[in-house]
Formats: sequence, C-alpha cells, structure tokens
Amino acid sequence: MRILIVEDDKVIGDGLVQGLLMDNYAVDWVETKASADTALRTTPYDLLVLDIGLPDGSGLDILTKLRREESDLPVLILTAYDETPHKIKGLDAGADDYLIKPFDLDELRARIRALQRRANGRGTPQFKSADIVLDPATHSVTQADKPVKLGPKEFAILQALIEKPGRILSKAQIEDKLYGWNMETESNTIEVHIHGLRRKLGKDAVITVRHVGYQVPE
Amino acid sequence: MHQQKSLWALYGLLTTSFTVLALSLYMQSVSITVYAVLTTTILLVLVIFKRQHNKLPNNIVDGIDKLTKQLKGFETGKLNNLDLDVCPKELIALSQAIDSYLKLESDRITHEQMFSSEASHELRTPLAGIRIQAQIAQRTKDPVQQKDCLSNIIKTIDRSTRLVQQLLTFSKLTKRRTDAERSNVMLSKVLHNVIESKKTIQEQRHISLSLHIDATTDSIEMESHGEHLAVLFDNLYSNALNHTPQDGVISLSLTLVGEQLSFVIEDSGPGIPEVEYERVVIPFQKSQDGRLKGSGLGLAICDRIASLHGGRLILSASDELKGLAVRTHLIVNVVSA
Repeated sequence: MRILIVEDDKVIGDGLVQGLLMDNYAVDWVETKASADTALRTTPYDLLVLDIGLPDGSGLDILTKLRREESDLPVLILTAYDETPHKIKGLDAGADDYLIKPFDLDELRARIRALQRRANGRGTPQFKSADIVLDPATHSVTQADKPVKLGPKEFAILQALIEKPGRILSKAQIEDKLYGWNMETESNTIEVHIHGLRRKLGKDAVITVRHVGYQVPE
Repeated sequence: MHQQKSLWALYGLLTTSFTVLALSLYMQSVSITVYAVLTTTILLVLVIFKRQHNKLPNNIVDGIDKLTKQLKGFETGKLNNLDLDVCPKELIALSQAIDSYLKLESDRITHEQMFSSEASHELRTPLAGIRIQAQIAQRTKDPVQQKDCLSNIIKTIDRSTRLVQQLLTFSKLTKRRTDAERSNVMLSKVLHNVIESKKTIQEQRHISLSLHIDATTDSIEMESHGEHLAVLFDNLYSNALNHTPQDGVISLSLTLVGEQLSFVIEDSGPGIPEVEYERVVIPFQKSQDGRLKGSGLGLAICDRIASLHGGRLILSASDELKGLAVRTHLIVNVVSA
C-alpha cells in the first residue's frame, strides 16, 4: 500500500514517514500544495494523509479537486484546527476521517487500516484467501490457523494482493505500492519476494498470470 | 462651580430683599390678611426658585438619557462606538472619555480573541511533532534512529519555547498597557544596545553595518515605551542579520522630524516578493515558499508595536542594497533637548 503524506511541518512529516515505514507502507512525503498536486497526478496512491494549513494554500483545495475529479482515494485529514466547524468543513469537502494534532501514532495507524478496509469494501479487519489469513493490525499471517513468518516486503506484497483476492496486479503496480520515491528498487526484487512467498505458503498461494501479473485465489 | 456660586448669590439677594419688603410692610401696619397672603407668596416663590435651581436643565437630562441608551446598546454588542453628536456640549467631555475607554476595551477584546485561537493552533503543531518523534523513539530498536528522534524532540522543544516567549510578548501588546507604561527614553541608546547585543553574529558573518542617527535624535529623550521599541529594533535587526548573506550590508537609520520618529532598516539579502508584503506581518502567516522561518510572530509583533505608537510597518524593496527595506514612522513626545 502506498501512502502520500502532505505535511509542511518537518518534524511531523519526518515522524509520519518513519512511523508508517514501520508498517511497511510505501510512503511519499511532500510539503506544499503544488508538489502534492504533482505527486497525485503522477503516482497511484492508496491513501492520502493531508494537513490543512500549507504554506501555499489550504489542503482542502487538494481534497476538493480530488473529489471533483471523482477520485475515491481515501483521505485522512491531519490538522491542528480543533474547532467543530473546521471538522465539519473537512468532512463535507470529502474527507473520510479527521485526526487532530497532537495525535497518537497508533491511533493514526489503526485509522489508516480502517480506511484501507473500507476502501476495499470490507468490514472485517482480516484479509482472507483460501486458508491464508492476513491481519494488518498485528502484522501477522496464518495458514490453516498456524502462524507463518514473512519478511516485511513479502508481507507487503501479500497484503497488496489479498486486499482484493482475484484482482490481478502487474509487477509495476506492485512496485508502486511497495516503494516510495526514496527507496531503491532492483528489477527482479518482486520475483524474489514472490518466490519467497510461495516457498512459505505453498505454490498455489500466489498465481502468476502470464504477461499480466499476479493474483491470489478468491 | 463659578455658575453655582453666582446662583447662590442671587438666591441670597432675593431672600434679603423679600425680608426687607416684608418688614417694611409690617412697619406700615397693613391688615393681617394682606400681610399673611404676601408673606406666603414670598415664601412660595422662594421655595419654587430653590427647587428649580436644584433641578438639572432639560437638555442635560435628555443628553444623559441618550447616552445611557447608547451605552446599553454597547453592552449587548449592537454598538461599538458612541455617537457624540447627540450630546449637549456640557456632556461632550464625559462622552469622549467614555468613548475612548470603550475603544480601549474593544481593542483588547479583539486582540485577545484572535490571539488565543491562533495560539492554540500554533502550539498544537510542535506538540504533535514531539509526540510522534517520541513514539518512534520508543518503538525503534535502531540506536541511530532513536538518537535522531531525540534531537528532533529537543529542537522542537526549543522552537516551542521561543514561540511561547513571543506569544507572551504579543499578548502584552495592548493599547492600555502601552499607554500606561510610557516613560522618557533615550531611543538612540536603545538602538545602540540592540546593535551591541548582536555584535558577535554581525562580525562572524562579516556583515558591514551603516548606522545613521541624526544629531537631535542622538541627544534627546522621548516619551515612549523603551521596552517595546527595543523589541521592535531587535526583531527587525535580527531578521536582517538572518537574511543577509556573508559579507553583506545592513543600513539602519533613526531620524526625528517634528514628533515623528522614522526607523528604516535595509539589507542586501534576497528580499521578499512584493505580493508577500501584506501577508508576512499577519500573525502566524508563513511566506509561500516557506523561506521565512521562525514562529510567524516576529513581524506581527513589530507591526503591532508600530501601530501602538501611531505608525505601522512599511515593507519595500531596498533601492540601494537590493534586499528588503522596512520603515516605520512612530509618534513620540520629545521631552528634552
């Protein structure tokens, strides 16, 4: 899952990047409205964490523009404006959630998981494919109720695929979800990790769709 | 006072002449009935005269009525200044005094409301930074990451401490306080002290300083608020020092024309785009490119101080040094030559 953070305060932005990287999300961070626009145009994101008071304008403009373009990208507003009218304005502009600074990193992580769940049209917190269950909150994977230990990238790839079992993701799409701008990628990494997943979960856990990409069975 | 004295004199004169008239009638032994009627009439006239004299004239009573009504409107927030035209001239001074007091109050209230809402917003941001960095330090096992988090926390705490200091300075900048705390100050000396306190930074960065204080300003005291003007000089000079590159130039001038004291500071730094001039003096507004660092209160404090001293900050491009020019014209009372 790839997240864009729009936050002009350096210390908070840096903290958000570090905190979300711990959850193995691919994270990009921009500090202005202008660079957020560019990032949203060029990169497919799964979630947007948005600050309102930006140096070149209001974060709400970004949100309004997104919704006008009929994007259903989950948006979580993160702001120091704590008065109710501000919250109402943000939610009415199309935000999915609202968190007030200062906030608890764990609460933010939980809200991100909830948004992710809803974006995939699901209510239950765990993802399932065949006998494999992935729990994003505890970072755990079980197969036939037995815990399986996965590496961080293996976990992230499995999560990307299992969010919508049956959906095919290309190698490039998986890479987009795994690596932020500042992270180095090697051309065969995805294959290496898929190989690792199959070794641990069985050959049929991840299906290769020739010339298209990968999927997990429904 | 004077008017009242003459009324008493008139009253005394009337009483005396009536008494003399009554006595002379008694001497001429008029009939007891005529005498009684006359004495009663005289007493009645005296009583009526006395009552009328104690009563306020109608126009004054009216004026007080109108004033009271206006003040009640103020109380309910419908009004924010008095209409002085409805007052009779006897009440003008009183109404003016009330009016200027009300102006002081509404200045204080606006200032306080804006301040507290912005201050809470501004303080939440560094707190959020400190909290998230602390949570990461708690969670990570990497000692390098932990150290980075801790130094970020310390930096943010220092930044918030400066912010709190500036918030306090800003909150004290009310008209009432300023007027009450005015005293006689040698403003040239205040400026010299500020320059002296920054001498190390100025010399380290090889910034040459051209200082111009006219002869009168250099030798006289002015009734003003020394502490405020020290803050004003200090903030503007620090800004200039921060934005002027190594080997740059800063020029300062302090001149007095009549009761107007002009303080001009120019630098050879990169300046500010013209569209930002209005914005940067508003509390907590950062410049578009985020180039202006700090609490976002420095220039706002200067502008507020200037306005409390009858002026305001005027930003422009410096013709001579190509950087920023900030000028402010303040009203001062010249005390001694």
